[in-house]
Parts: sequence; structure tokens; C-alpha cells
Amino acid sequence: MLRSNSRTAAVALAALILYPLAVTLPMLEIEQFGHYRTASIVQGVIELLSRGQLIVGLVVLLCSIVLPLGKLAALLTLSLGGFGLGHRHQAMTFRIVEFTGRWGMLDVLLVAILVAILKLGDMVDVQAGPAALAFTMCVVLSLCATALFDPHGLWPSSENRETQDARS
Amino acid sequence: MPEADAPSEHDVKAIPHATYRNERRISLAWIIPLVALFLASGMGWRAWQTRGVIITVRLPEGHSLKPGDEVRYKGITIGEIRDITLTNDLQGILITARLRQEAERIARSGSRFWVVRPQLRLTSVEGLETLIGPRYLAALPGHEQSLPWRDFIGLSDPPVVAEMIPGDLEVVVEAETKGTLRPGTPITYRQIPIGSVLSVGLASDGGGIEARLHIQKAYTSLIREHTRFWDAGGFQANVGLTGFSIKVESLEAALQGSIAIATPPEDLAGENVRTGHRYILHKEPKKDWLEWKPLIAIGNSLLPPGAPMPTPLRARIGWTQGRILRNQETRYGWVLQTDQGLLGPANLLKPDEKADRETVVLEVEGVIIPLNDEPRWTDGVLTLYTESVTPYQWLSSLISHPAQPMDCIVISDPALDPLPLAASRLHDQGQHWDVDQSLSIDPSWHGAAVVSRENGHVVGLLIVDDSSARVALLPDTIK
Repeated sequence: MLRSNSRTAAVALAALILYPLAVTLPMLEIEQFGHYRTASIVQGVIELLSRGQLIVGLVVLLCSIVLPLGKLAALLTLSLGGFGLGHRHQAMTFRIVEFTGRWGMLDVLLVAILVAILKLGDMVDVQAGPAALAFTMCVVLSLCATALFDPHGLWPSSENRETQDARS
Repeated sequence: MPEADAPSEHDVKAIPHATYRNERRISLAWIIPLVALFLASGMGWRAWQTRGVIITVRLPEGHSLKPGDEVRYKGITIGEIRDITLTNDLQGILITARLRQEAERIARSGSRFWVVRPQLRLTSVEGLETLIGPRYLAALPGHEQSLPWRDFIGLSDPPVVAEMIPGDLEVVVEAETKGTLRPGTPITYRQIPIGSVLSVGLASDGGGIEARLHIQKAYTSLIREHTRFWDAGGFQANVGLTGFSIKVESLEAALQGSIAIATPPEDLAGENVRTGHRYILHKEPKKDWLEWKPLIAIGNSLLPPGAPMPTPLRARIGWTQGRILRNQETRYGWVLQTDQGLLGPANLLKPDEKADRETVVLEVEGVIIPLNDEPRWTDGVLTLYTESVTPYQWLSSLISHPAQPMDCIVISDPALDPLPLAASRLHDQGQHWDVDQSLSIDPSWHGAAVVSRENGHVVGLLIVDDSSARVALLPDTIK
């Protein structure tokens, strides 16, 4: 295993550990006219879906939960040596990660939240909840994991190839 | 694998093998997930700690309550309403609310919930803040020892009596007409409120009305078999040849109604009654009722009925100390006048060793006490002097030495509410009971009398110093 990919694995694992907290803990604490509400990402998705905003809800679900989670999981698998996935499959997974990475928009969500905090500041009291820290770290770690990932690690080492050739 | 073997001509076609150097099996980067795990478990633990508890409250009417509105107790927010739905039978609404973690114990059986909305009456205004602001769900916790509970049936109106203490009395009065009675009407004895009307309704046979009266525990000894009740609400006007006269119990009573009671002197009063006793509500009092002056011991609601309250006396000791740098020392506290003498904390009745003997002044309730004699008894914490500053003495027959901590109240200034101390907050240390550190007790309670709630006996004095508070027990020898 190449060292660069073990670093990717470490960072991706860290992001995965923080991820459940980032989406379930309250992200925003909103106070308006004496009403106090907290909102987490999962809650937001559920609320959107239950209000009949199927498309928006599904897009948010896909972009903020499914894709980032899938990307992190895939990176972790690849960087740990594929867990028995064949080379062909590993390569395919990597391409999928590359492609969907553009659609998993954790970072965009972060910007949206910042905008909410800055813009709504006058009307309502918006404060970052405990999930904000986890979420920010998750975003940073996820970016790092992608940047650190070295696709060359996917190239089979000659020994591996020999054993695989021998097997087939 | 050999590293720098020069390729022989024989092996020219052989592709040189790259060599791996496995420097470190475990990369330093693996610290990152460990840190993340640490952080995540910390945050998760905190979230778990403050998760609160979800309760449901069924109410007959929503009064425009919305999700996001607050649940309040004692004027502060203890939770919020998550969801409001109609009940399946469409006869009411079902509120789902989350109580904050610190208010978790309000979710216990016997707790009551109601919607606070503006209520304007002739004599009182309630819930005025909800006229403009959002409405809220008010909570009133049930009895301390009741079991945890999640599903409640709310009240349609605020409860008349905040808390039914075991020992409170409930009696029924029968009247011909409702008059000014309604739930919340006060019951007065010599115009002092001693209870209130819980409910008013037609008697089961329709032959009159019945009202349930709640009498506070402290005054239950006033309610005897021959106690008379009359309607003191409204006013009476007489226009006659001699002129015009108007009779009003009090302006408050005239507006909101009131039930007044009178009890005959001790020998005619009869026995104490039990809950459920029935009386006739008279329309007006007879003259002699108003002249009755029974002498009945009434006491604090935290003590057994009829138990007397000790009246500790304010004490101050002052002296100067030091040879070169002279400084004034003063201590304040409470002492109790018993029939054996003045009982108080040792450091309040005796100056420090360093004190200049001639400057010591002990003052109890404005009386300077000479400190010439040795104390009659002392154990280092408590001291007893044979002095007597007031004829109101606490009888030593009302002093006892309990075996283990029990529910107590602490009495200092008679004008202040006594401080309750639950047995669970007291830790037996032999000659004294330590008061739990979580109870912060102001030093102004130093020397206050500790009275058992069980029998009303004085069991000790509260000793408060910089670091802690404890109950110094009185030894049996003091008798």
C-alpha cells in the first residue's frame, strides 16, 4: 500500500466518523419573535419531503447525504486496497467518485448556511449549532481526502499482478 | 531481494525490478481519525446528555398554540412544542413537546399542563404577556416522588390550587344558589385567605349547589365540626326609614366573592374533620359567630398541624483583635432561646482565642449579654448559656435527637419563608449531618433552628461556614 493512500484512508475515515453527527445534530439555532427552533440537515430533508417538495427534497438528500457519504466510503475502500474489488471495479469506482464528487455539495451547503447567518442576522437570531463544527471539519477532511488520493495507487503492483495472473 | 547487482549480459532483457521500502507500516495520518473519534464521541455525548424528553399532552382546545411555542414553568422556558395534531376522535388536540434535559423530571405522573392565554377578570389579570406574544404551555410538576410519565391529559383552565400537599383538607359546602361562587373564590378566616373554591356545580339531585373547598394544610386545625361557613361575597344594601346602609366584607370580596368561616371556641368547636365533610353555606353570619375567638394553634404548612414554630433571635458578636494591627471582627447569626438558656453556634457565642477579652460584645435581639460566666454546656460546635433574653422559650421537651437524617425545615427570620431540607440531602456524620454541597446555603442562615417535619421538634442548629453547611445535632443531655 502506498503511503499517500493510507493518508487518504485516515482522512476519509475521520470524515466518516464526523459525518453522522454533522447531519443529525442541530446545525442552526434560529430564534425569531421568541420562537426557538433548531434545524439539522436530516430534519430539513424530512421536512422538505413531508411538505411535498419531492424534487427539492430528493436533490438535497442526494447532494448532501447520499453522494458525500458514498464518495467518502468509496475513497476509503479504494485507499485501503479495494477490499477484494477487482482492478476493473476499482477503476470504475474511482471514475464514479470523480464524477459524482462534483455533485456531492457539502461545501456548497456550508456556504448556504453562512449566507443564511449573515443575511438573516437582522431579522432573526441565527446561531451555528453544535453540528456546524463537525460539518466544517467534515467538509475540510473530505476535500483533503480527495486531494490526497493518488490514483496511481490503484495501479497494481507487479507482485499483485503476478498472483492475480496466477489465480486466473 | 539483492539490490545493486550489476545486470549480467545474460539478463539484459530482464526488466529491473523496482524495490519497495516499507518505511512505516502505520502512517502518522491515522491520528486524524482518532482525533475525529474523540471529538465525535464528545459531541455525541453532549447531545445525548441534553436530548431532553418527549411528552404528549392531550387538551380539549388548542387556543391557537403552534409548533415552536414554548413550554414554561416558573416563568422560564423548559421545552418547546414539536407538533400539534387533532386526536383521532376529533374531540381534542394532541401536543407533542420536548422538555429540556434540566426539566426532565417534570415528566412525572401528576404533572399538569395548560395553555396560558389572556384572562381578564374583575380582580385579576392573568397571562397578559400572551395578548401580544405567543401563547405557551404552562407546566406544574407533580409530587416529588411520583413515577416518570410521558403522556398527559392537560387542563382546560389553569389549576385553582397550585399544589395539593398531602394533609390539605377538602370539604363540601351546600348552598341554595351559586351567588358569587366560582372556582378560585377565596375562603377567608378573619379576612385572611386560608383556601379556595375548587369547583362549583349542581348537587346530584338538583336541589341546590355544591362547592368543593380546598383548605391549606396550615389552617386545617381551624376547620371543626361546628365551623360555620357563609357567603361573604357581593354586598348588601338596606334602605329603610333610618337611612341607607351598605355592608361589604371587603372590596375584593364584593368583586370576586368570598366564603368566610368562623369557628366556635375550643370547647364547642368539636373534632377536627376529614376530607369530604359537608357543611351548609349560610347566606349571612349570625352576630355571635363574629364574636367567636377560638384559640387554635395554626402553623406552618411544612410542619405537622398545630406544631409551634421556633423563633430564633438575631445575634451579633464583635471584638477587636491583634496587638499591633488591631482589627474589628464581627459575626452574625441566630440563637434560640430555650428554657435551659441561650443555644447557639459556639463561634457566635464565644469569641476567638485571639480576641481582646475586654472588647468582646455579644448582642442578642438588641440585648447586650455579659460573657463573664463559662457556658453551661458546649461541644465545640454548639454552646448553651444560662442567660434568658426573652420570655418566649422553646421547651426542651420539644427537642429531640433523631437517629438518622429526616426531612427538616430550617427557620431563621420569622418573616422569611423557612428553608426545606430533604432527608436525601443530609448525610449522617454522627454528631452532625452534612448538607449536600449542591445546596448553596447563604451564611445568613448560620445558627438557624432545624425543625423535623415529622414531629415539629427542634433537632439541631444549622452551622454555615465558608465552605459548607451542616446540621449540628443537639445531644440528649441538653434536656
